[in-house]
Amino acid sequence: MRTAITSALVASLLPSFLQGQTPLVPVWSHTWPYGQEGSFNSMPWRDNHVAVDPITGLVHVTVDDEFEVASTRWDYLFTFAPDGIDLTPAPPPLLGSPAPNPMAFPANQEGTASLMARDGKVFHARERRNDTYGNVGSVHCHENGPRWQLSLGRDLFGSSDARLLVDEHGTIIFRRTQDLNFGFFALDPNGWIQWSRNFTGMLEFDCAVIVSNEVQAVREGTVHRLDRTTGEPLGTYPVLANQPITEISSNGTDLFFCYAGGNGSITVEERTISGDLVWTRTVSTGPPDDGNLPFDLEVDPAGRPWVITQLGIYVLGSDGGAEERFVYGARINDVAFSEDRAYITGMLDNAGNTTYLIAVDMDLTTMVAEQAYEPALVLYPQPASTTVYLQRAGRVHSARVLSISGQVISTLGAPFNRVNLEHLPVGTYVLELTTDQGRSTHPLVVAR
Amino acid sequence: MSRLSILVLVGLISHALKAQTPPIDLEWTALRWFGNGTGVITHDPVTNEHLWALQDDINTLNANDEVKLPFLPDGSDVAPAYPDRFNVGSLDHLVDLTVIDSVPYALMAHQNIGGVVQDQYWHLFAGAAELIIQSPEEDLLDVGLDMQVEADAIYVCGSSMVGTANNDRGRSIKTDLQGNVLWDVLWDPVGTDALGRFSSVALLGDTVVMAAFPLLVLFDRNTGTFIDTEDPAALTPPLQGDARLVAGSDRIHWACIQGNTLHFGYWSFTEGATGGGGAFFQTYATPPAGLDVVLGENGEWWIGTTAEGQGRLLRVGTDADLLSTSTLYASITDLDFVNGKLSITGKLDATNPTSYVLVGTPQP
Repeated sequence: MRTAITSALVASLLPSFLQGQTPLVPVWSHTWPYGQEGSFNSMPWRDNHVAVDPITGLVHVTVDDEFEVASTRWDYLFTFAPDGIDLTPAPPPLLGSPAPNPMAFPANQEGTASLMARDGKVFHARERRNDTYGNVGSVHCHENGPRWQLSLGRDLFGSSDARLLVDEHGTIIFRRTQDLNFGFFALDPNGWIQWSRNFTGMLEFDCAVIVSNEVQAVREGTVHRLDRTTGEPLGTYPVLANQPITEISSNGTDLFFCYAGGNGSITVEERTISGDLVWTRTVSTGPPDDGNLPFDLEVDPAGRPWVITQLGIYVLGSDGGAEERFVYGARINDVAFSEDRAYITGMLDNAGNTTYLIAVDMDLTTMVAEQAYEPALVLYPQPASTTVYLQRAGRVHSARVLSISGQVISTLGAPFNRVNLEHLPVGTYVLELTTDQGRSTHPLVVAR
Repeated sequence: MSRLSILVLVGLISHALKAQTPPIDLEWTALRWFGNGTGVITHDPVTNEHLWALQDDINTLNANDEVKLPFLPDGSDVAPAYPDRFNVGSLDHLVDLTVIDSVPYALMAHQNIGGVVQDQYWHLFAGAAELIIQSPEEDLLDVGLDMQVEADAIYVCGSSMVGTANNDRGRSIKTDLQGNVLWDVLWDPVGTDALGRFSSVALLGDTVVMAAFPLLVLFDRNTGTFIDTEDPAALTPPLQGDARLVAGSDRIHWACIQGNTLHFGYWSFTEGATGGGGAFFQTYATPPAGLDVVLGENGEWWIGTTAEGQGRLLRVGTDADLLSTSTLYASITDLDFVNGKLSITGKLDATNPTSYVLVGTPQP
């Protein structure tokens, strides 16, 4: 069923149009001659996920059994040692529920919505298409076989995927619940519910992350902070308005936000746990319709944000500085990290009939941190009361001052070397510059 | 015994009884965003399905506001959008449910809001048959509280009003499995400390045992003839409250809430009363609410209730010795024990109507 292919073979698959970008060269890889029929809710990455257990170092992958060769349970779970040795039992564990009522559950309309692993346990969230009754969600724990599961009932709109967060205290699940509500549930590692938090209203939470002792979740430009231990609300703070936040991630202390611009750009921000902006960076990608939309954001062990699109991975420096695009010449569905490697899974062909998993040494990407990072801009003094001065190498084409909600407050004229702040109330603003390297934004603090 | 030994022993006992996650290997949980603590969990011994009944109080599915959700033994959600639906009126609610070979036996309460007097009465569904149970004098309040389905008959209990003063009577009815009445008895508590209702029913051989605490009221199983009363707690002042009963091989195990205290014990023809006082109670800062008792394995039994905002699960040994106390984030309203697995249902938290059911295997 499975074949191992060499790095050389993978490298030969790289199409020529990707020359000039850094290819991902695996230290080991696996492929499967199946993986995704792509018919369920048109989400090509629905079934194919990778997760690394931070305690055991094992790498887990879910792959869709699109031909249902084994049973009417629809996904496989494969496990690899860090050195690429396949530890998957034969036959591989099957995920998903059998369909006792074919009228209610059309064949193969089920998939893995999220995959996490910790301390020998593998957690996977599942969604099942249920005719006109939306999706039926569930979360399962595997530990040498099925351990526990949680049925989440239906989401009439079928628009919400159950998502998982995992830490040493257990699992956080978030998903649309009743048709007009959204719920967060904390489970201990054995599946016992520790707390729940219900949010009313149609709007979904786009993403969430565990940081320190908080769960922070984003909905409609507002970050909601929940106590990790109790689920009690700790307040909110705004983030960039009018742009859907694709993903949120954390380095353990700070948060990273990723926004998809409609013009083929991606904005990444680092914020403190209380929402204070540390830096923001905009990266030009390419036409969104060509697979350049980001769908995932991960922070690697070196604290560098990785923005993942189907066509490539943008790795930024931990200070938002250096940037490199990595490509594999194949569709990327998911990325996970161990201490020294990145594991990437996706589809080798557009038909979705071949799934791959590659392991990449972090050494490949250290250039991002090692690149001489020329500060894009020095603003001084900060905070400022009447005037702030700009010092920057390279040409500035235009400059604007924005509110933190994105409203344009003023447009600067050349030579762009100072900003008059006298008319601005005390507060935090955003200075947006357009240069030869693209658009960038920088915090601007006015204090008196 | 030295003082140190006593302290160590007390410390060990305190540790053993410390509130904690239930001693259960959890296998599956299901959530629904309605129900508000009205859940009843049962198991069909023929199809091997778990049936979870809830009041669909947000009417997500249909105007028939009671739903019966089937689950396979491994927790697979068989019909999340296609459950059975049933109801008997706008102010109805399910009291108890048993399902055998896909035939439902349901005891439901109903209030007729269209009448001059808003009469309350019982509905007993035995498959397709329906038996409406009202007081001998109409337009009075009748409440069904418990049901026990045996191989050949159904036993239900509750209360009926028969007059205008001191008028509550314990009522028990036996029907065949088609809902035909075999006997129907009223019991007058006058002269006792008992409340005028039977809160629970259990069967011990040829005896039907009704709870009207502080008393157990005994009837002949075949004829419904009154036999005697027993005081299973023997407490002073008497233990009054709506007790729950479950029958073991030769004992009636019971639990009863009075004020902030949950009492428990057992009674048998040969041993008499054990429990109630002494070590056989748990006291909470707030009055417990909701109560159920089920028989486990190896003579153990389980008590579920809700106090201080948490579900409270008590594991009780053969001799009513308290083996463990556990807490759940959620409330506990109903228990079931079958095939070595304990099922628990209730309301997930106080702030919304979400209901849960969970199934797990007790640890040794």
